[in-house]
Amino acid sequence: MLRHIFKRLLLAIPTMFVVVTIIFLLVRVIPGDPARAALGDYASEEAIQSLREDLGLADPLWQQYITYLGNLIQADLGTSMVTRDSTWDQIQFVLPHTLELTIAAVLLALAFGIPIGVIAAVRQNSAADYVGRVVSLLGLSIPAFFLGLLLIYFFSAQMGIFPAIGAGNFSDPVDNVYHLVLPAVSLGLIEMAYVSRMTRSVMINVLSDDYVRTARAKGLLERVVLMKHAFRAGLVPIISLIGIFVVGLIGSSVLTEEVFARPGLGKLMIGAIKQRDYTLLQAIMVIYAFFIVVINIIVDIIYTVADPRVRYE
Amino acid sequence: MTKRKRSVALLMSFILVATSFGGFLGASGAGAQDRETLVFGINAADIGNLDPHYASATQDRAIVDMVFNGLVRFVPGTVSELEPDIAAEMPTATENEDGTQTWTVALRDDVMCQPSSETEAYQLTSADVVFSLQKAASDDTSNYASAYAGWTVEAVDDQTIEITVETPVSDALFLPTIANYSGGFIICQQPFEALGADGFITNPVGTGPFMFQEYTPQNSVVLAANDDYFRGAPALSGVEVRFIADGTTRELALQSGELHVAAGLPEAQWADRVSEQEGVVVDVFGVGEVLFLNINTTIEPFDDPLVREAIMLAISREGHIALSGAPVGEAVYSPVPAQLMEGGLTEEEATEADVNYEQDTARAMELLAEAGYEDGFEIDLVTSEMDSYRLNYEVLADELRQIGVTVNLEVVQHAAMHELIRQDENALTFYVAYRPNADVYLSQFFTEEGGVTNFSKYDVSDLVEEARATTDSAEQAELWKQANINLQQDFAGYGILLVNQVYARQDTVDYGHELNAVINLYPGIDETTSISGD
Repeated sequence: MLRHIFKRLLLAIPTMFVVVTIIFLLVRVIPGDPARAALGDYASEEAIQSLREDLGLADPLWQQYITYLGNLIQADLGTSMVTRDSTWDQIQFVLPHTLELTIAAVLLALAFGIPIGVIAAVRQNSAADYVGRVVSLLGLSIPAFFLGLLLIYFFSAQMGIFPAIGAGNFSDPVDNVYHLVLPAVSLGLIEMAYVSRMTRSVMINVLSDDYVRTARAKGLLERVVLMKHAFRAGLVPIISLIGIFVVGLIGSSVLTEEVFARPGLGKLMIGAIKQRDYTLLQAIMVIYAFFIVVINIIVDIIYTVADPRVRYE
Repeated sequence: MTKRKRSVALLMSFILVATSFGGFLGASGAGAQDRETLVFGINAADIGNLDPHYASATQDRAIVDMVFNGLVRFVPGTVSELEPDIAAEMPTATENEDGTQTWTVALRDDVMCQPSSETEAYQLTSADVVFSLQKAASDDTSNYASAYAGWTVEAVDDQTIEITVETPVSDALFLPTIANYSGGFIICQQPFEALGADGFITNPVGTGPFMFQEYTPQNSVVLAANDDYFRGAPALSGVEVRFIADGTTRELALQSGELHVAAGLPEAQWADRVSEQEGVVVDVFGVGEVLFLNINTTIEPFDDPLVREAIMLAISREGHIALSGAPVGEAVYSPVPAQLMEGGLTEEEATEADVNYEQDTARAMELLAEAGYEDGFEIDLVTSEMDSYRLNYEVLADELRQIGVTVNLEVVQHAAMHELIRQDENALTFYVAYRPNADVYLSQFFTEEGGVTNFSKYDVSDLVEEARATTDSAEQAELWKQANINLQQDFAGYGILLVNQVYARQDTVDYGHELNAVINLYPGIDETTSISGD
């Protein structure tokens, strides 16, 4: 297992190198001048040219690339072209907000999605199944930002239970959770719909397998058959889904962050694109790529635990 | 599995208990303090640059206005009157024998530079003012250097400075450059040098009623009351500027009481709807950003005046104003808006000069036929994704379709559009802008001095120079009007509309002044702004 992890980590190095190179080139393909975006439309052409030189944008592309790689190897993600702050400081500030939102949404999705899916599969075509399917369909149909606005309307503007905007303070866990509830529910309900549908479909397949019939024939309790035999076998595709969710949510939570006016990595990335802040954009994408690699490795490890058939050695 | 179930149950219980507790705290936590912090939801994702000599985005202008002062200031809530700010009295000018002009400014002796993380509070002196104006005048340290070209600034003593300008200028041109706007904001030398130019971007230090306290990226800027402010301690304990880019969220947060003031949507319908909510007041006020059309007079087929005239006759101001609705949208009859400044054309003046073109598609088609385009033609245009541009381009495309001109409209990101239009990508360029006086509008967009922003390649330099050279304000205004007439007569530029600012507030908020127009693009929050008890 350790050897496998070590191999995956080694493989991640060339992957990251390719990703970093593509990111470097891609951000420069977007039309628009970072110096002009930073200085605004009042700036003179001389001032824009001067800032371009200060930011190294007047250097040949290869030279910019070498400088960038050199800094990256020293774990220096650079300074923002707009605020001149360290990009890592900016990312460090927003990352915990994105991670807590992602984790909370995934936990809610699993906590409700899996039981709903299992119940729907076990009681196929019953009232519970239909209710579960309708809820799933609703979750799949409602865009996260719209659901967010609905939640704000009812729970903030009308009832005044939860705050409409902002993120809580990490030094105050109560305040933090208080601010997290609506955004997490907004994202989590939609993910829950995917989880419940996937769980239902996987469980329906697994429940008709021979080994489940054998387990039942042996006289095992239905609970044991379900959870020990059927659910464990059905867990692998659900784990893949969770991996995809986590990766996707880190990037796609931007709409929820926007609606709830929360800081976050997705929002930071959109801001960097709008302002043509190349260094910040590169830094965010490198961090994002890093997460994808790490999460994939974690998912691989969980596979082996969940399903002994998956062998690496 | 039992363990897992238990963990999930525990987690959910924790969330429920914590949130209930949080809700309780939130409901009862409102301050028992004497002064309140005003929470202001602004339409932005984050700050851009809080160095006032670079600040140009709406959110940046609002924040620096609360932190800094000018030598003179626009009377709160207006843009037509100026009064002393850091200056003890209105500056006066004397003409020198060598043809230059000297403005003498006496400073108040009770103005304190705010403390910063690196410096203590200290009394502002002429050295600070000289430093600030020299910084504003340098292309390396300011976006607004061109407004200070040819200036020599000297300290006469600790409380007096002299500004010598190479060519005498009128009050109307000089005073706005030392007012609380753009390069006119006074930066204290010591904190700027201690924090450095880069540090100042996110950590501004001035002399105003509020002091910078904290910046949280993408979330907020918190300002604290400056109790040593020379006009007296503010009625608020501070201002928290929250960055909320989504209009619906701002509206709902205002409704839930989390915001005291929220930037609205520039739509009359929105203003009407929100003003019907209990306890909410909507203010519609200037200054508005002007939408004007620039026609590139050097690109075929627009190098033909007949074609340019046809374009003007295809346009209906009402069609564009309908996007915002009155009173948010108002017609302007020249690129310089007569409602906001001297030098613009009123409807009567434009009509009298024969440059108020009413929509006449039949005549426009005749003109195109006369120019050899009886079957029309096709053009490619780019627009920003921002509504203020995109929607107007879409209306234009529809107007031009009616005279046989097909517009292939490509929507690009705002920054990309700015880049592309400066490379003459658009033969027809809409620009949305507010500028503080006619000189800036005309020189930036209709003279060679404007460089890449002279989208029409039309030049009214002679009139602009002549206007600069006179110290007679009335004569100056006439020259600017003539420039507006010329550029519309030759179908190079055309004023369409201005869009006023729309802000909503709790009715407990009193800005402390009437709201006619505010140059820094927000309602104006100062030491007199207060929140009364609910």
